Parts: sequence; structure tokens; C-alpha cells
Amino acid sequence: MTPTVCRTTHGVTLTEVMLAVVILALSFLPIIGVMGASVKATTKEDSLNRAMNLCQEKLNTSLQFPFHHFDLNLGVEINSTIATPGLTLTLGDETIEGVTYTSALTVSDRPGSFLIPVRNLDVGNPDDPKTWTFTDTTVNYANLVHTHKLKVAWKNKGDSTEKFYTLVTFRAKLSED
Amino acid sequence: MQDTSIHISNGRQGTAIVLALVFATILLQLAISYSGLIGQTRPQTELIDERVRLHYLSKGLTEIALLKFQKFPSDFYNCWRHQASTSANVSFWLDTNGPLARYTIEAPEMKEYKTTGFSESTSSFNTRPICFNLTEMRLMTSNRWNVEVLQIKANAHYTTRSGKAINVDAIRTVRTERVTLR
Repeated sequence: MTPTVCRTTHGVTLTEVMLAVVILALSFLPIIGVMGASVKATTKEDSLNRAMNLCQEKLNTSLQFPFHHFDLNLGVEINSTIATPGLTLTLGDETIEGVTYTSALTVSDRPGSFLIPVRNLDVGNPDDPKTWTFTDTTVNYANLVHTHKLKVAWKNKGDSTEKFYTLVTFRAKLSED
Repeated sequence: MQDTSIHISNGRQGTAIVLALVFATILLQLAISYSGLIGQTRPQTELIDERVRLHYLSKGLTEIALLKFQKFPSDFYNCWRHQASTSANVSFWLDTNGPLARYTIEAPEMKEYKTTGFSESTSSFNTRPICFNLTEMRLMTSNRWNVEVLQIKANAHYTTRSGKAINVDAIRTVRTERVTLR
């Protein structure tokens, strides 16, 4: 009797294929999750970069105002537009691409003292600096140095926490002012 | 009746699942490494943020140093001449002793935040204190009673949360002119 050869081709059944598809679909979930997180992170960094740029731009503008322009507002937070002939600084709320940035400038006096080694004119040979002696003197000053502090605050979309970014620099009353 | 048929398997049973599992593992690894990359990007952005703050602070300090020079120029020149004649160091303006150092880099007002830090300039990303100090104040030319160049350098620094030290220098160069007041 001749045996019949029966080729079974059930290596890939419908159930197997469906199971494989389910596994693949599940494996895509973390990828999608990471991409979502990436988009959120990029949006947050975009907001931070914008805040940094705004902060720099406004702080630089504030430094262009005459030194004594802020005398009446020293130590007070300014959050509305200020101007001087030929120069305007916009402060307060600004909405850029759906995000509201709030800028505030605080200019305060920074009193201090300088340590000055003063040469004793009656000691040593005037033509020989090696023989000179010095006495330290402290000179106090006020209203010659201002601290400029610019703060930009904002809230990212879908985030209730307020973020802020602050830049601080000093402005001295130099003779060219 | 006896079954005489022969079953021949082609050996492909379970292949789809194995392939799917291998592929899924690769995708998972991709997701993990991508997630790690995102985690590294954020500290980089924060570093840029910190560098800008450091720059403004050190730049502000050069402004104060220049004010001191404008108010007391003759004392600076006297200190400079004395230090130049007494110091064995070619870069005598970096000496930490002597009247020139007390006028410049060792003056308390030029390094008062060195130990206490400066935390007023903060952000919601990093509130660690920033320190800054004057590092150099020197004449770039040796002409006396003539036009000279004064260079002022300040440094601001802080240590990140991961322990990395970040330094930013600000340099201000100004032209000066000595005149004799009679």
C-alpha cells in the first residue's frame, strides 16, 4: 500500500498572526509614550528659552535708561510699561504663542564701600615707587550702583505651577552716563 | 484501517510570535534609549540658563570695578606702579598681596559673595547660590601719561546639582587717558 503524503502548513495560523499583531501593538505603546513626553519637554524648553530671551532683552533695555530714571521707584517692582524719550520698555503680561509671560523689573540702590589703599605722600622717595607706603581707607557710597533685577514668570500649557526666570546685574553711575 | 499517511511539518510553527517578540524587544530598547536622550537634553538647557545668569552677574561686577577706577584713578596708578616695582612676578597684577591686590582682586567689595553665594538671581529650575569675584584689573599698555587700555575681568561660578562646576568670565576693556590736574 502506498502511503499518502500530507503536507501540514499550520506554521503560521490566524491565531498566531493575531497574537503577534497584539504583541507588536503593545510594544509600540512605550514608543508613543516617550514621543509624547518628548513633545511636552520640547514645549517646556521652548517656553524657558523664550522667557530667557525676553528676560535678557528687557534687562538690556532697562540698562539703557538714564541712571537716575528709576530714582523715584527704587526698590519697587515695576510691572507696567515705562518709557523715556526714544526708549520704551514693555513690562507686565505678554502672550506669545498661547503662553502668557509676566515681566517685572526691580531697580534698587546697592550701597557699599570701596577699599582704597592711599599712598602716604610724605613717606618715601616720589621717584622710587619701591619706597612708597600705603594706608587703607574705606570710602562709603550710595546711589552710585543700582541692582537691576528682571523676573519673567509664566505657566506652561496644562501645568498649573508657575515657572520663573530671573536675571540680575549691576549698573554703576559711570562718568559717561 | 491503518493510517499510512505521513505528516511533514515545515518547521514554521511559532515563527510569527518569535519574530514579534524580537521586534518588540528592539522597539522597547529604542524607547528606553530615546527616553534617556530626553533626560540628557534638559540639563543642557538648564546649563545655558545658568550661564546667562552668571554672565550678567560677572558683567555687573566689572561695572562696579570700573566705577571704582573712575572715582579713584590716581590711587590705582600709584598701586600699579608700586606693585610693578616691588613684585618679582611678571604678572604682578595677579599677586594676592600688596596695595594693588587690595585695590582690585582682594578688595572686599570685589569678592564679597565668594563665601556667601548670591541667591537673588534664581529660577524655578535651579536655586543654588552663585558666587562671583573680580579676577583681574590691569593696564594693558605701559605708556605713562598717555592713552592706555584698562582691562577688567570678573568671574561668576556655581556648582550644579550634579556637582559640575560652571564658570563664566566677563571682560571689559576701556580706553583710559591720564591727565595731570594742576
